[in-house]
Amino acid sequence: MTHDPTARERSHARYEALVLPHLDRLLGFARRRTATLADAEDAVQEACARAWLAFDELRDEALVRPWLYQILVSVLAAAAEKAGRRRRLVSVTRLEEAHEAVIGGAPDAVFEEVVARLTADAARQALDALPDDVAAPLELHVVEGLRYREVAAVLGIPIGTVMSRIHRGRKLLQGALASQVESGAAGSAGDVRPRRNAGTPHARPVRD
Amino acid sequence: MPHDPSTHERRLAEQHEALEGLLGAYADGELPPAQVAELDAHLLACARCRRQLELSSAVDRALASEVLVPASPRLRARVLAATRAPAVAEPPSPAPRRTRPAWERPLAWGGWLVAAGLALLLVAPRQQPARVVPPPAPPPVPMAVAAAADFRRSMGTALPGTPADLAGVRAALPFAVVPLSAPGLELLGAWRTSIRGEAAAALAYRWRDRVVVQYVVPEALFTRQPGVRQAVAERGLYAATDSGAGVVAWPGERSGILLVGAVAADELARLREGVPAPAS
Repeated sequence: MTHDPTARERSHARYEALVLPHLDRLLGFARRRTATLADAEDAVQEACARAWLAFDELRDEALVRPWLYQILVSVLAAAAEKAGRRRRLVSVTRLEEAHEAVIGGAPDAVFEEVVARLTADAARQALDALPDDVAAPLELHVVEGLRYREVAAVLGIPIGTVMSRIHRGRKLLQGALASQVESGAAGSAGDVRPRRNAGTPHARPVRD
Repeated sequence: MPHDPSTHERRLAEQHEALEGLLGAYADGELPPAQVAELDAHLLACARCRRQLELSSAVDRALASEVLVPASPRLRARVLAATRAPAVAEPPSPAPRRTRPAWERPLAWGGWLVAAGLALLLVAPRQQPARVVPPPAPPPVPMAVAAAADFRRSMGTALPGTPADLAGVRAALPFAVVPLSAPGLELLGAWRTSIRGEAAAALAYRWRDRVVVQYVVPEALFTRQPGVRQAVAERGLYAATDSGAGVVAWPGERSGILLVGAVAADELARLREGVPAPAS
């Protein structure tokens, strides 16, 4: 940034062109990790303000999306730390068993039923029940469309860890969905409780 | 030689154990060609992996199909307003200096007769005080520029430290690192950094909806800056703006303290006094 008014206006225009198109997705990511829409909006605004301050550091415009997510993850982690939010423990073992049942041994009819009940709401609710250290990489890749190396940069973890956590997250997610079907209630996940107020992506890591 | 089914199954199980963890990356197009070929061959024989892929694909489609709620016009306006906020305004200008006539200036070597003679020559209309337009604020001193740059770098990534790191930071530096205390100010993290090549402490705080960073630098670095010394002597603190970041600085205990944030310097100065800024 510079004191030259003309250059400053160019910076503003470039910033708006690069950042504003991602506001909806950033807000969606934040919303899934905050208690209220207002908190999510505050987090996105804070992230965008930091992005503006650090705008000159962005050398490659093609990297603006993972860069913005990296800043947003930092903002959300700080907010979660401040609020003293703790993750609700999820019975990972039960999810693993449910996954094994549907993949390894379930008759085709059960498998087909699990696939047939895969609505966006059911998938979202199941994802919300996962520990954030596997949910965040899975979401960044599947929902937000980031490549593995970009997810690694956003979360500050090795790409091998991204790969293993996404793999693990998918298995647990599928186990959660299978549990929903088994419990017989659409939108209910048996002993899998919905996530509220996500912790940091690095808290209580699932064993990789 | 007849094919031994048990050997085949054992080999398939070993292959499955080695490759199962790569299924996701295979489906995501994240594997190198050699591993893709391995999995292509494995999938021909492993029904379990084929089922896993089918379910993963279906789940991914369901996740990705969620309807996105667009950001409100109010949020967009807030985001844009933050880039054009008063934080980018010039710092409070120092009081315009009155140009003192030559005959008022102290003389290092006496010579009053010469001074009297000069006074007759030098009193002139151009030395009349009170120019209508105040002079532009001087550029920020290098120490302030360095602190502002470090602040911007910190805002572009995860904070390098946590509140629990404060004790370690204090123990590692030879000068006192005293956190700020003011209503609404909350410590977010502490870490060691370098300002103009000198080891320094950085303490990040949440203040209202902003992050501000307190830098504690060695006294020698702080007092080396003539602009800072003069400002502290005249007003008790130094204030500047660098590329949208406000900077205020004041002396500490065998140290210097800089406070940097995306707010106007006069707002930052309130934190020093522990006075809450008025709500916007």
